[in-house]
Amino acid sequence: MSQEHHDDDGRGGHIHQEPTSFFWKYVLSIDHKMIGKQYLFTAMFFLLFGGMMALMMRWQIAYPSQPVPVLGALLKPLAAEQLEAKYPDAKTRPKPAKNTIFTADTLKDGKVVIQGGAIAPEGYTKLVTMHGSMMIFFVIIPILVGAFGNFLIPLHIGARDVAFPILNALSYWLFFIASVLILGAFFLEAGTAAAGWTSYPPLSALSEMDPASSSGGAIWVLSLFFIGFSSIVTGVNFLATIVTMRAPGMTWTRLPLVTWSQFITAVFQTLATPVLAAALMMLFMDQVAGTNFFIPAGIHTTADEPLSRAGGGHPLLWQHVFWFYSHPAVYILILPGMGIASDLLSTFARKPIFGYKAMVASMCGIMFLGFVVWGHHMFLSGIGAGMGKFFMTTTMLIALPSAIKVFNWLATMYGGSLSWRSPGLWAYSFIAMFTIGGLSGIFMAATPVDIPMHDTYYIVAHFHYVVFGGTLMAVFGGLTFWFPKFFGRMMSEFWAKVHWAFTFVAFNLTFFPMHLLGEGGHMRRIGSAVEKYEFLQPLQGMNVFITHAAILLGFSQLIFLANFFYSMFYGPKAEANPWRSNTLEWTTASPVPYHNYDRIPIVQHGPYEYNAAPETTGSDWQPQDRQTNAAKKG
Amino acid sequence: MSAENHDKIYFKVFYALVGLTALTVAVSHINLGRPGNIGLAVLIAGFKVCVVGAFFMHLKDERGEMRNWTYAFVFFPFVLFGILVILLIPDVGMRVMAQN
Amino acid sequence: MSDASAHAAHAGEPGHAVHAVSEFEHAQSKLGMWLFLASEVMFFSGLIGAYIVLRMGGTKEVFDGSVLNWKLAAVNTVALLASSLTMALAISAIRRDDIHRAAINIFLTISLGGVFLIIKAIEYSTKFLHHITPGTNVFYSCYFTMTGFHGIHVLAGLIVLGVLLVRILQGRYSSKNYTVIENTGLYWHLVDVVWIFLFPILYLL
Repeated sequence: MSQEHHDDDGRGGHIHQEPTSFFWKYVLSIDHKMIGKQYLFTAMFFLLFGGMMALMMRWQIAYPSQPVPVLGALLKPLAAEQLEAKYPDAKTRPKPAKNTIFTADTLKDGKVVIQGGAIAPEGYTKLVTMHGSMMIFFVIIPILVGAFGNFLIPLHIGARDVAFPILNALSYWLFFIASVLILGAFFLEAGTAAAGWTSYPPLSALSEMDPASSSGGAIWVLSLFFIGFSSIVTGVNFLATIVTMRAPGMTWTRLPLVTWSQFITAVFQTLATPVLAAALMMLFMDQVAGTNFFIPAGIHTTADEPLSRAGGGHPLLWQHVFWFYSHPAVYILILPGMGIASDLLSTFARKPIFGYKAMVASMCGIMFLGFVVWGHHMFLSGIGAGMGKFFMTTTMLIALPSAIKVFNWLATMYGGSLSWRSPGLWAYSFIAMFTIGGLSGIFMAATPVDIPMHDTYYIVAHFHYVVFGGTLMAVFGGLTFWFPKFFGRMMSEFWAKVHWAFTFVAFNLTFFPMHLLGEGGHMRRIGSAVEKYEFLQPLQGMNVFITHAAILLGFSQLIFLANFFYSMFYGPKAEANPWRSNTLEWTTASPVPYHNYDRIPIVQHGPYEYNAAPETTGSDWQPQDRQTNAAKKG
Repeated sequence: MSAENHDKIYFKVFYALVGLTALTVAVSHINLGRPGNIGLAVLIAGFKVCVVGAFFMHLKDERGEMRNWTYAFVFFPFVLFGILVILLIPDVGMRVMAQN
Repeated sequence: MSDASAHAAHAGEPGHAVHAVSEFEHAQSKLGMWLFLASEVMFFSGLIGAYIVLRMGGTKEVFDGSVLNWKLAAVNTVALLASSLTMALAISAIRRDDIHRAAINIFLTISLGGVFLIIKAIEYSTKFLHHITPGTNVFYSCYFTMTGFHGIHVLAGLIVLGVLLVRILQGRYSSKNYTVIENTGLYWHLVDVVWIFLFPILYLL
């Protein structure tokens, strides 16, 4: 029997009984902390999967048509002769697979003359598409919002759970369904979608142009639709939670920046994602129902006959509606990371965040401007000069709030008592890498500069610097930092530092040269550029170098995984507040008990009171639910 | 406000909405030029939507902090819709025109 | 959307509203529903926005509302408006603990919504019989997609309303516990609002 009683915050919320059975505790949990962990583990799986695909791409670029080590031999399809040998009965024999990611062996007279297991040409574009789609939708957004958002928001505001816990569980399971769909696409006959994560029609809509469009492409659309729905429900949940469930005394100006960043992110999720849903549904209709939203009249492939489509649509329509969401999406990808970096920085510099109000105002500025910059992804799509000018202006404007944040972070560090513990290292490197990524962004914002840079590796460098160098580094820092709250133990500090060092070095070695590749004219999404374009051959040395650095980067992540999973079970048990940090989650036990707080805390001051009253009682930190030493003194 | 009065208001709102629907149909038969017809139809529809929102959805009766948040979250999407349409016109609205 | 109703503490007392929903939870649930409605507005904004610009650049021959049956659609419009009325009356009734009247009005709402879907089905089947499909031209692409998704939303609303009707008759709701009904009402009014826009821009212009 579940016992319920009203909560002690006087508002009339209910407390849920902690479940005892394995199923209700770990599988169909409605506890925000468990749901956060579910998101985290699913996303970590996709991080590995997506990373593996990136390494396969890098292999093809550096060693075109060479079989991929290990994976190539394991996953290559069987050639026609090999199928005959394996399935003597013609009736049960499967047909040779087409549109595969790996090439099959080439046989002559029963002997293998060319080894299979290299990346097939159409396979490369599938990898590009899946790598991008998975990293954005199945890794970064779930970790930032699903894992960190879910776990931290109630704790940071002093609540016991989110506003709608059952909807929260629904969000995760929608994500799970989306995951099954996108992985399932690999097993289709025509394989996965291959039009890039941006899925521009007509390529992505017409199976005459890409055989996978109406199968793998349609599955891609449905998968993203589910994950978008999950996102919207989460956004609604988080907005309602932050607006209505803050503990007594937790005013808007006392919220940790993690929470503020999640709030702004939730606005983007709730209002921008549905537009993606509309775009996806129109694309889906074009793929399977013969509609013509994005298909112009008279379209034809290389054959002379036009396709029998009535036409009347326009490919630019997709680009506009898609980027209307996908630009806010990139702010979803960075804002929570910025929030995490702020909190980590303040803790590890033992200093209040410089300019809290400016930090909040910047994020609000990003929220408004973020909806009017999307055209900068389309400078070369044939938009008019006037539109180009408009979007160039707004894009340059939106650099300002981010710049304010960078200056504030630096000012926070200046004069601080910097710790070299690993979460701090991640926070410092976040600032540096995000700044580099942001600077390349300014170049691209200028339309004339973007004209030669668009669709080159310069762009690839930019977004990997902000998303990997920025967000993912903040994620690693956050995981190390909040590990005690998640699992009640500490990660190994030594191995965390080793992981940080390898990642930091290998990351820069991998992605910095890409700026130069892009400036040299090396285009993106192509697996054998140097074979096709003579002018790129001088850059192949750089490509090989990048591939080696990427392999190092990829394998370095195993250090993190080992540290993470080992420490989860065998790491040293953690105390409540090992980092002497101020926010509310550190006032409760490690790991966080089911009901979060014994009593709902009453918040006395902001989250960054470090060294704020140094002349008083010896401690350089003040938990949010204790009166400041200065106030106590009277 | 007694319940019966509240219900009476709902009926009045309904009759007004039906009347406005009839008006929409009627003016659609008058030729005001394409922008004129579209503008008027959208204006009337917009007014009907406000009426549904204010009375049936009780936006008029909201009080307190929730009211401000609700109004903000109701208002902002329409602003975004406007931005989306306005910025799509030069590229898709006028482009497709040129194609034809 | 109130999770509190998931835990029924009074076992052995079948068919009774078990506890009051606090004012806080009521307001919180309502805010959640408004946020969801905001997302729905954005979804239809994408579809309607696409239609607007495609039409702007399209030819009058293709984008001609007179190929559609505006009379049936006008009946549909009145049906939905009436269903919004009955929905509002239902909520008004439950707030007075008039379970009977509330149930009747919910039933009327479902019926009127059902009329809407039936007329829609007639419209669609007439088109299909004339070999007019979403792929026929871009106007029909827009028409079928926009009314199709709207219809899906109507159907979803009717399913929820059906469940609510059963639960009202089981006595699970009262003046102290009607949050779910009010939120469903908000959703239903949104469905009506979307149609108020779709009707003129598809059928009359």
